[in-house]
Amino acid sequence: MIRIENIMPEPLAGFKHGEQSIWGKTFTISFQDKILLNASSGKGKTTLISILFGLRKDYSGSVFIQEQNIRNFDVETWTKLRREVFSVVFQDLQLLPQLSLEENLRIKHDLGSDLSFDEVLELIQALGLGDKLKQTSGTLSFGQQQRVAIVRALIPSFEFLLMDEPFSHLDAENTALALSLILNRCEKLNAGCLLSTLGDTYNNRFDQMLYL
Amino acid sequence: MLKNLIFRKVNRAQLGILSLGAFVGFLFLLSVVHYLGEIMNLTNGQETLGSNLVVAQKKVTKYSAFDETSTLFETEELDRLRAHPAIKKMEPVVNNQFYVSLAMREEGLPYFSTDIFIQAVSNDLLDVQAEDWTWDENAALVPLIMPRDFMLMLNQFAASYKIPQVSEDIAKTLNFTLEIRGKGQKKSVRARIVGFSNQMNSVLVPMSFMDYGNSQYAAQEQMPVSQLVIQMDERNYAGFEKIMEELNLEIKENELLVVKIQGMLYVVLGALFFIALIIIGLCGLLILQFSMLLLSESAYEIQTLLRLGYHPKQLSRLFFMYFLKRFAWIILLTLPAFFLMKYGIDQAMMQYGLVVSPWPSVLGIALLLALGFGITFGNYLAVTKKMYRML
Repeated sequence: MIRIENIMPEPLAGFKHGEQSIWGKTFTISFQDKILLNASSGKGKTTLISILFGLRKDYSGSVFIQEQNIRNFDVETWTKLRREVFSVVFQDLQLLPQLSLEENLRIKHDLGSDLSFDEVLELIQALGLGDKLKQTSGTLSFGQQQRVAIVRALIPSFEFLLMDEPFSHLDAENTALALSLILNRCEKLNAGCLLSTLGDTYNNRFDQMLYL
Repeated sequence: MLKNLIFRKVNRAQLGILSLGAFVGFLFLLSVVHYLGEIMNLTNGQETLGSNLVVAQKKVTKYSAFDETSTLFETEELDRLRAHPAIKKMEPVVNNQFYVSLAMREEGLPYFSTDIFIQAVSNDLLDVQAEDWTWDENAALVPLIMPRDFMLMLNQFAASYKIPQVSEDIAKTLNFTLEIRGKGQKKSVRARIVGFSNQMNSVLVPMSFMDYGNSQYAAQEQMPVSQLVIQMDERNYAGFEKIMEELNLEIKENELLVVKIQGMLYVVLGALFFIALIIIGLCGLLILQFSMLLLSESAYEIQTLLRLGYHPKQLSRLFFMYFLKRFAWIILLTLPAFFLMKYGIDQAMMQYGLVVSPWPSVLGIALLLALGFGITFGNYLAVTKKMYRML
């Protein structure tokens, strides 16, 4: 469970936020929740995901994961969380452009998964990239790279999946396909997810909507 | 895959120069430690240049020549010498206080008989490790150690009289008779040469024989001390020379020369040792800088891997193994290069009669391994620290 208490990122502290905004409020997220984080550009979607993932510490208030303040987490704890609890689709994807698509997936799979690598390849084939396994990811289009990043995030046996505008460069068909894979995987793992979006509701397939 | 990803941006030219520097430093260090060890062996009695034992006596001046007691050592002087930091060990040379004559009757050699002067020194200050260097009253033979100069003199004499010359091995087979006299008693004992000394200029007998002779045949009980065997600390030659001057003592000049050469080699090799350490230290620093540069150049890849769940130590261990393997190769290449260089140096040294150990110094190899591991481990710690900050 994640408990957020009055957090306010320093760069956003001087702005007036709407009544629905979660900034400065206290609320909890269960690891089984499927949450849509809806906000327009510049409201702090990436910032929230970065705070939850331990990449940013420039905020006031507190964030608790399993009742532990994340400010007190050491390197070992963050590594364990990133390996076993969270999985992420970064907005900038964070692929390794010099490695092939297959190698990008394998490097995550090497850290452990309940899926065999063949099952991982089936996921990438389902997203229409089965013929590009040997192609360096840096030469793929951004939309193709987004699909690789989504599959990479689905590899571990995560408890909560963080996704920062993962479909921003995907067409409707690929978005629907990717979303189905994500929700099926969450279902299988009994895991939750938080997906940030610029306004899409994705046919209300999420349990909860948060606003910034 | 991880290794290729992180070390993809390695500057091979820089790495080559670093490796060459480490190779030169290691080769230098191993050579210096090896030859320093060879010189240090002198103090352990394994001679290369000569031992650090010297025989000292008081200088005879035109004034002291008429006073036979002025060249004898007093108790205070002996105590002062024993306590001096430049002197590791010191024992008086014990002289015979009874009459001794030596005779030889061997077929093919001229008969000779002569009064001689014998001395005894403590076994651990003897520059000869002779077998059978023991004597008791039941012994059939008295072992003798002759001055090596005596053999030279004897053979020059033999050559001029056209009689066969005698090698050291043959001399050890000759039978001598020692006749000892005093206090109205006389005794003849068989004697045989068991070794030759470079240090002593007199015939040496075991201390037990000297004690026996002096107790049974000597008229006087007090044994005056006129000569000393000293084991000096060759690293404190200046202090040794000073005490020699203060007490008006003299030793053989060539014995001092050996010590001076030893001292000079210590200084030169010691300086080279520090230069080698500086070279290796600089290589260590450059490897650290090289690693930091590589971390900066591969910052994106490393950060991505950390975000995917790789532990910083998991990645810094790649640096450890990378440089450990490199150092292992450098040390493996250093050894044949050292043997090649050592062969050349040893051949040149043998031309001057200096024989050194054919094996490399274990300490030197251990030092290389320790330095290689130390640099690699230090680099690993620094890389880990940097990676922790990249998380």
